[in-house]
Amino acid sequence: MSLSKELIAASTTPLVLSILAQRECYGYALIKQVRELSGDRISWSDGMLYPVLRRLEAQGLITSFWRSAATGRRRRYYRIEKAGKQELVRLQEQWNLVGNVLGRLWREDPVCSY
Amino acid sequence: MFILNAAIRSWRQRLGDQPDIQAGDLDELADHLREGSADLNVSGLSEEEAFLVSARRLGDPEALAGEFATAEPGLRRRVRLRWMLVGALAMLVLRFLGDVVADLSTGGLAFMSVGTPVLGWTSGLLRLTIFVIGGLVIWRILASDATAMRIRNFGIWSLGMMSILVIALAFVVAAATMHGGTTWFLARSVNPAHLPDLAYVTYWLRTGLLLLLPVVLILMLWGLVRHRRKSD
Repeated sequence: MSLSKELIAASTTPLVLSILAQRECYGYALIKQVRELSGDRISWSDGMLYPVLRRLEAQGLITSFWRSAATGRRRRYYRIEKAGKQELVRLQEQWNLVGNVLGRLWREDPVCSY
Repeated sequence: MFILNAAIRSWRQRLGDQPDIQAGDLDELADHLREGSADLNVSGLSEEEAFLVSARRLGDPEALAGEFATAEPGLRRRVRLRWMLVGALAMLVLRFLGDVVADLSTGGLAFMSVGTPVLGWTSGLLRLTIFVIGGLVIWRILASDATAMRIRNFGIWSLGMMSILVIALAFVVAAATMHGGTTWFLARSVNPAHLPDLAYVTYWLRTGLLLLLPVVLILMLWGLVRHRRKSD
């Protein structure tokens, strides 16, 4: 089962912020981690992530910096900012709310009281 | 025979033609392409196949540029403004340099008791020469691929801008000091009766140069936009 494009797009920001809340990371590693965590079911098209990272950086949620990788090449890493952590909390509440509502609807008998 | 570095260079050039993708983005995407190719290569694809698959996954340049443009709509304008700032600073430095050299030579000629009209024209010609030659040199340096590469490799753009500002400031301070010195020297050397004539000729020449500024600036920007990010 693969996710719809809309759901993938909507979940990109919380996924990126959640990973960066744990550790600094670079683009390719972000994609790999999401792929592994979802068992290959959330598969971002590779090029799509970088404009999203640019947008999050422009919004002040994350910052980027260059660091030498083990290969000696310079690589752009990302870290979450304070505003990004606040945004992540807000997104967690929203996604939890949607998850809870859907969970209740799907567990209980559908009774419409109106 | 497939050469990965050459393939990545060619891919970068194609992507570099897109105006919404910055030099840093190119580096980042090229790094992604390299790592993606390496992973696919390890999983059994040939080097060429791995590169092609990895490049395909990144998407075609136009679509990618469109995504970048949507992500940061004002970026292109900001980059142009920065280049304009660099151009304006370069003009400022050149003007000061021109003033200093012209004043030094004028002072020298005055010391040798050469007539006032000659002093004025010599000063103006020297300023014009330095302005034009210096402008061409700066244009050439800024527009060259090697410089674009060096600026990018320097890392953070703002740090590079800071360096340019510091260098320009150092030039301006040094030039202003010399300017003051030569003015003092001129005031002592030139016959006071000739000073109004000298000031008149110099004024019109300076005005002429100022009128050239926007033209040179536009030419510089045009050159920069044309040659931008075709490095590596």
